[in-house]
Amino acid sequence: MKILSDETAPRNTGWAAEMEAGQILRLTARTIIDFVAFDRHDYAEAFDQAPTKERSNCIYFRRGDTLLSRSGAPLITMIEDGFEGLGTHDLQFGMCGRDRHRRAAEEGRLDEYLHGHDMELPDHGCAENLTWALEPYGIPYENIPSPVNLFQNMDIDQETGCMARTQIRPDAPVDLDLLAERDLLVAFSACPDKASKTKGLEVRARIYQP
Amino acid sequence: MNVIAEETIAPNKGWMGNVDKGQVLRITGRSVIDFNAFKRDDIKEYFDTARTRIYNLNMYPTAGHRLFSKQNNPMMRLLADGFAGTGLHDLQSGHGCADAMLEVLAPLNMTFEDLPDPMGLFRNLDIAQDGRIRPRPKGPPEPVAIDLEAEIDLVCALVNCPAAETSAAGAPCTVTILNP
Repeated sequence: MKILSDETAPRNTGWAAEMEAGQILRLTARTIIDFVAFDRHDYAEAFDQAPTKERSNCIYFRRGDTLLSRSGAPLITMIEDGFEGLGTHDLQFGMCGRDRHRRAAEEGRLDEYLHGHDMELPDHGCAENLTWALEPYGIPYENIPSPVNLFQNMDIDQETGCMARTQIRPDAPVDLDLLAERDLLVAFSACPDKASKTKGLEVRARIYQP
Repeated sequence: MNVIAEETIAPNKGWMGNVDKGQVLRITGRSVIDFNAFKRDDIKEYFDTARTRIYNLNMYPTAGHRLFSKQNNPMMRLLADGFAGTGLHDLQSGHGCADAMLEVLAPLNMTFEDLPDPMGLFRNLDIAQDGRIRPRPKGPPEPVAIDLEAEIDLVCALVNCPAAETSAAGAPCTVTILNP
């Protein structure tokens, strides 16, 4: 495969790039990545968690599954999953961010939300990172879909539906390979991941032409 | 509580109406009902399923939970869930009757691309421990009520969208607005 680009997003920053159909995005990380995708020629065809889950009949994003747009158009498929067997990728949550952190702190529910009481909250989060990364493309926050939260392994009680964050992350960075099904605008946030021991790390993004 | 308005919605039909802050929207039914809500002053602020799941830290909405907007503001409080103990409402799926919902929301110039994912009342999906989703149609034997209190002035909309496999395919539902 020919490598077209190789960039690393530092902790708690956003990243965006354009891809052509057939190209592969390799994300290498051991931290939560909030990832979204849009049809490059029509941003209204944005990734949507609901049709994606309805097609795969699974609440987790697995190797072989395709992220779909709201209208059901295939956007990007996970062809390699370095987290498989270790943990699951989440399709329940949205982006963390200033508002969410502030509300959790105000309500005294930081522990429930982030596994910590008197923690220093970051001044921004994934909502801000993705908004800033997608601003040059003219996509406002309310049009940014709730992402697939890669490496966000959740503890979900099947009976009650209760969800809890876990500390499960890879011990060393692993690769996730995503194959573009059409020309795309892709973006992600390297989450500050306050729930984990690492408190957020960098994410390496490589684009390949097979 | 005083009844302000009440309407019966036939299968495959929908409803849109204003619910003022403090009023209770009571939805009484047995078959799947897809529900959306918008801030009346700014419909770009919409009920969002992911923000709602995060706030409640739960996949299934029930009594004691709140519905949150994309902008992280509270919109509704779920006061009573007549389906609790029998089955589960849904926050995973897209619209089952998108055309009918768009027709109901025509006064807001709503497009398919802008139509947010709904809350699916009575959908009762089976979500297994391995994450697999299966339909599990099983509505309540008699109509039950879901009470939603508006925390801000809202425009609410719903479509009575029975799936062929539910036990109550074709049941009407009732929408009641109450003043406490």
